[in-house]
Amino acid sequence: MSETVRHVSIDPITRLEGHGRIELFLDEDGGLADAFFQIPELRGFERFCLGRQGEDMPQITERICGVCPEAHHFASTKALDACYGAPPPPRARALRELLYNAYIFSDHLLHFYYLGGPDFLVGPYAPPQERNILGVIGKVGLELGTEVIKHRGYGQRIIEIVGGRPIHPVSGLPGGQSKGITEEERAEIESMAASAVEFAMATIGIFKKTLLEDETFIRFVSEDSLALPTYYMGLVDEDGSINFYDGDVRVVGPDGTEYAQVAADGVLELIDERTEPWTYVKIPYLKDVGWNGFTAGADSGVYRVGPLARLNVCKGVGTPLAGAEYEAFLDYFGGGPVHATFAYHWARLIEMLSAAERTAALAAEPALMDGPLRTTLGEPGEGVGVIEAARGTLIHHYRLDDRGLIDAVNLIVATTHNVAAISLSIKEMAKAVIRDGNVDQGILNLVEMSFRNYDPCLACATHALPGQMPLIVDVRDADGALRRRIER
Amino acid sequence: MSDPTGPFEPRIVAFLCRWCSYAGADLAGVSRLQYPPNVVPMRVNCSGRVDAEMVLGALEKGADGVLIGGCHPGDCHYVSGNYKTRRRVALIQRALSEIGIDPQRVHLEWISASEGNKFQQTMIQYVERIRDLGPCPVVEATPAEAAPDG
Amino acid sequence: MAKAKIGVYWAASCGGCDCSLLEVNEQILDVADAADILLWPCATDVKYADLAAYADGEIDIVLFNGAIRTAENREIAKLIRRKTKLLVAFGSCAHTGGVIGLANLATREEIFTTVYGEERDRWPQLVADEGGRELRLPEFLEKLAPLSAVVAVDYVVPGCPPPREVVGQIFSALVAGNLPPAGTVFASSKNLCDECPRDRKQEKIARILRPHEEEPDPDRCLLDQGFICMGPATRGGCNAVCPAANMPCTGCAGPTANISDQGAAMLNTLASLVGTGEEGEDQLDAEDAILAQLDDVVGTFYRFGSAMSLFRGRYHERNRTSR
Repeated sequence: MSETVRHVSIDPITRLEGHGRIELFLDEDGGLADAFFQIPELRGFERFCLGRQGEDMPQITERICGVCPEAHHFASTKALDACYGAPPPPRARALRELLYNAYIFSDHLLHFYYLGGPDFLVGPYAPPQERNILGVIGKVGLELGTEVIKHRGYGQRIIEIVGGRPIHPVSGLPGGQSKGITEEERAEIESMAASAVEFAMATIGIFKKTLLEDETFIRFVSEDSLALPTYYMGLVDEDGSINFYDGDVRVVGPDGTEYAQVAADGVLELIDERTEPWTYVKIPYLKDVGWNGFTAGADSGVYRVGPLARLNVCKGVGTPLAGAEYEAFLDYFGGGPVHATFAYHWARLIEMLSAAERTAALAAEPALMDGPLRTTLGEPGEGVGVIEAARGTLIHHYRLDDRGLIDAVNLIVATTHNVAAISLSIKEMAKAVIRDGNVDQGILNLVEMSFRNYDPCLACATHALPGQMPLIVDVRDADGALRRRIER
Repeated sequence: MSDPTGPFEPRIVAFLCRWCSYAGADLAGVSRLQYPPNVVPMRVNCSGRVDAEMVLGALEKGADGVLIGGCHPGDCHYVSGNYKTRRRVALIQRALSEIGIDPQRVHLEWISASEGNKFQQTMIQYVERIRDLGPCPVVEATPAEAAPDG
Repeated sequence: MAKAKIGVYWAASCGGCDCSLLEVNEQILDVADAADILLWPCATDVKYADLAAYADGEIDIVLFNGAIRTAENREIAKLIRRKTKLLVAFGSCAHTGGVIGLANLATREEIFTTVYGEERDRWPQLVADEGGRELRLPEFLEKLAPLSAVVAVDYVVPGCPPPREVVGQIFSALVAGNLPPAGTVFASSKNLCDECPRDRKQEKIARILRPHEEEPDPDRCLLDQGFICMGPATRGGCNAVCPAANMPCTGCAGPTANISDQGAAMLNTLASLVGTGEEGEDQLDAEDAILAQLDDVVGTFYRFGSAMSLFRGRYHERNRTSR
């Protein structure tokens, strides 16, 4: 008889953005005793952003994440709009929203086909060498595989046209955009967006034929222990519909009733955070509910963001085709809020469709092609920019000194909000699937599948800074030359 | 030169333009005007030759202070080299203060060929100023920078 | 021909370089036909234990992005160096330390205090005891370093991230089985100005402008107009996409080969360009006023090159104790 395994590391976790490790500890019966989700990375953006020129922040902070740079770029740009009291003119706003929805489409596509989707598209018990995009293409065939690649390319191409580069765009400025697009480019975008809508519909079709008919998926999406009755947070517009680019922050409780709805600059008041000695990431929770350990429920401050959360806080999706899919989604679960974590995959595809529809609609907007790209800036001050990254609510809060340099900065980044819930999901899955000390790679992959629901971005996650804002004061002489820098 | 267990002796690199300040240094020499041995003079054709890489490189290699000697405004043998030097030094000093090094560690002085006294006084005063500032702080070699593999 | 064995790895990275490998769109299928992917944590399920089990030199080439920020980054870089025949420093962070090299302006303590607060016993620990379970975290190194500081590197691919065309070139070479000689840098040997379509006259800069202060003329050189563009000190090969988007180059591809410190080289350039149009003693005050308009020298001139600069980042207030 083999010795009972007591401790297993999944190192590194894979098919997500960023570095992470899962430590599993088993009891004498070979079941799960404890599980820890550790993030071993940190880069310190909150520190080295101090003293930078405000208008450089969209390009600096987007290097927090190269999978979702557009989210940081425009959360940052919006924070600067607020700092300078300079809402962008309609043309710039339309351009930004166009790029932004193309980004959401592209990022959600990436997750379904390249990151989390392969577990189901190829199969959860498939050999590890096949559990990836190449295995997906092998399974669905080259024709569909080419469509996957082509449509991700469309999303990236739209970002490139409007933002200047496909990865790490450069066009965001306080009060506007650095460039417009030509009529030729607009027509190209319109055509790509129309195709994107069809492809998103087809992807939902694939989802329904694969995941929704896969017994493992069905089991996981109906298993009570894998559902987390948490609070949810997301941006909604004045109709209560999802809006990725702008809106108020709405938080609902596990029973779906409203907990709070605040403008962007009010969200920081809702959140507190804690550190744990075994991870570099900080763990936010709803301050007034309080921290009740890694638990989910009305008396636990643990909350979730991202596609499932957005579908739970909104009153509608805001676009027709995705709206119909949203109704079907709610029907399946018997109404909202939907707590089944594996439903994130479905919610993500509904959003992918909605973002494609928005992109197509915006590509036909007359405002896109006419009018100024910039507006006059006021004096530099303090401002908050809030946006929905693919993975959840993203907040950039800056204070600029009178020369427009960053003297205080606060970032709360999407995946960070989900860290407690991810830990909980990992533990619940490990409890559900680890039996008799069996921790073969298939079982361990099931454990990893629990976090892949969230499409985590761990480079993003290690940048939360609610609470005390770091402060930098530059002492300058009469000519403006720097004499001394004081930092807290 | 210096005793590692003794008090701090500043190491100064002085880039001196051959037409003015280096000649001024020579004049100090033949006039037997003593100046501290802490200064290592380096002759360049023009102070305008001295660029930011040379200055930062000198600090990185162990200099505690870098002094650049050039011709007075209007006297540059190459007409306007010294004006460029002046702008460069201003930018280098800005960079240094932002990264936490006292900008006094880079200093520009106009010294003509006939100013042997001024050369002597400048060197004496600059050595003392750097002595007061202390050794130029250096980045410790980090574990990441221990001998590369492969 | 046997399939090549390739790997991709990220150290302290944003994931953008991994995504840049997908920018070649369908060409990735040619790569998949020609090569087996033995390591790519973003996209496949190979774990560190699998990597360690490969024979030394078993992998033919690894595209390594990200900087060396933690002890784990360093350890895996060394492991990968043993397991691969060729190692590529891919992207700005691996090449020069990248934007995150700006962290070197602060000490580790300052960074932790900013991120985690003043109370040290609430900071993450290298070893933590959680109800009898030992949990470890890798050390956050005092200074961030580029890949070449810890292992020998065979190729460099600059850019943040490297442009689509360059990735395409590398993949084509891989698929055809003919990589260029070791030591190759996959970028232009000339500076960005050489390929930028804007009309440059090397005019004097009498007023320094920040990008949000004025809308630039789309045809004239941005430096001529007073915007600080790093083009003169930066490698080309990216089609000058940022100037094409009306934004100045920020230097992400690193310095050209003859420059030892990118920021210093640009400081030299700016010193030559700043002026009123005349040189003379009567212009000195005006020149000082122009230079005083600069607000963030390190963030502008050393944005991507702090970790590779001659000073490696901020000097700490410690006296040397020995020569």
